[in-house]
Amino acid sequence: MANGAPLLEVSDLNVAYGAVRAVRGVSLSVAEGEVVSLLGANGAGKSSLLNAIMRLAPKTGGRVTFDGRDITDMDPERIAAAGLTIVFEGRRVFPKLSVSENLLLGALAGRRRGANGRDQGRIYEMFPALADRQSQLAGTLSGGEQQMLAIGRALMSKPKMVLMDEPSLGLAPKIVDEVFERIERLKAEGMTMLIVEQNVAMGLSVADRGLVLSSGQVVQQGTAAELAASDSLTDAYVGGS
Amino acid sequence: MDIFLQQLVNGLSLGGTYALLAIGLAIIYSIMGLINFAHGDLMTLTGYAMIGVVALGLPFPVAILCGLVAATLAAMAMERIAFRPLRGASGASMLLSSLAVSTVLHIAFQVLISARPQALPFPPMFSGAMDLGFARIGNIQAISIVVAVLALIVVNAILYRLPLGIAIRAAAQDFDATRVMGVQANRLISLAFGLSGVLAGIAGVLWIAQRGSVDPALGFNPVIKAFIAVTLGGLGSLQGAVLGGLFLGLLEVFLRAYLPEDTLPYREAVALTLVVFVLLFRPQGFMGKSEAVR
Repeated sequence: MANGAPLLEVSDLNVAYGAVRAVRGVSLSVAEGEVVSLLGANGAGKSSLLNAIMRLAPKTGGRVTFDGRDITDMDPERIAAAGLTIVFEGRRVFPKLSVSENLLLGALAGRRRGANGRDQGRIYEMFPALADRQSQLAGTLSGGEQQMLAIGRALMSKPKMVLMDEPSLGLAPKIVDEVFERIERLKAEGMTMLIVEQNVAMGLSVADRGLVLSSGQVVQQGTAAELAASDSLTDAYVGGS
Repeated sequence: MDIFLQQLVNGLSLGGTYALLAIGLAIIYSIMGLINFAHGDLMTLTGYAMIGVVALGLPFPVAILCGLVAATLAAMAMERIAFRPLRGASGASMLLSSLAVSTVLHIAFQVLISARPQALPFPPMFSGAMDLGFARIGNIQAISIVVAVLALIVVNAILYRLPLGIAIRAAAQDFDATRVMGVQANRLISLAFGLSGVLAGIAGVLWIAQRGSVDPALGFNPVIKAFIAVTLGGLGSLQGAVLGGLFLGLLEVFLRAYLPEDTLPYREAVALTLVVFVLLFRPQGFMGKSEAVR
């Protein structure tokens, strides 16, 4: 668990879209090898938080450090090169590129860690469904396959940490189980992850710890077991406090 | 029949030149939503650079090479000076910026060089014609077609084989996601401008070879045609840009050849009317998505 300095540390982060304050003074840290779930209702600011860490959403204050470096004002491509990547909400695979081309691009950020775009066997072994579809356009894959591809693409860069935004969104329950089984496997391999999930049970099942966000603020945090047993957790979802 | 063949060759040669311009416009549009009206001025610049090198007494191939290098560097400089500060701004702002660049270049050409056409004689190999027995084909038309095809093959290889080319296609689909792949946005856009610049330079050489002179407004007409080709093909679609260019080139040449004598002055109007008709029935263009333009 948490030994030594945290891999990712977010302090007093604020995100605003014009006058709308999506994230208000959130602080959190994730240790190497740890899996943390960010829970909360739609619009609680979870996705904004992840995007702001990658500098894809407008930060209005706060500080983010990763692997001992200040990445607050770093370009997304440099953050990715430093070993932090994101699996986007809605997957955002490149629809008009083939599965194999998507994976090839995924490796670019990891060249310094020895990632090679042609070396896709590891991903196909993890996601056999993709192996049969290497030359198929990503846009023609099913939702579940696209999610597998999005995760595979992120792993191609041999990241030190993955931010996962709503990996279960829009998927059939059976496919959600499959996706989470892979996330479990990543965890077992020691991958550090910060997972945003609306599906509380799923989110907590893979996590060591959890944070609950409501109206852009952390309203509750604890170990996964504590949160799972907590009554007040549901309040964050129905808009209470 | 031989007249038809000759016109077909003429149409393909004009269309191929439009296609080279159009694909450059489409690459830039698809990545950053910019319609670069200064694209045609890269052709003009290529011409002036060649005139300068020829005047120095250097061999013609060196002049062509210098012309292409000038267009490439100018395209990259344009991006750095006029478009990078506007990154993420509305399409209209960037369009205005490109019109400004175009105007500045026009005036610079007029003031620093001359408002009148400057001769740029090409070697004799460009001016002859080949007799194939069943048809006579102009050398320059044949060269245009061969060069356009080769250039399109190379562009295709870059965009479909090289990681950075694949990244250019990815950036056209989702720019932020491409950055998260570790692709440096500035480098990618600069490279895309360089690629569009070298294509505009090649189109410029072919265009000037047919005319033998360079004037400040040389690039204006072809860039408008290339823009029509891009729209016809489906804004942002690279294959569409090539198809649109070929279609427009063939249309122009065949109208010129087969319209009755006294309607010839209206051939551009007829061609554009046909384009309007195509877009009425297929507003998204040949290869465009059926969704509204963003």
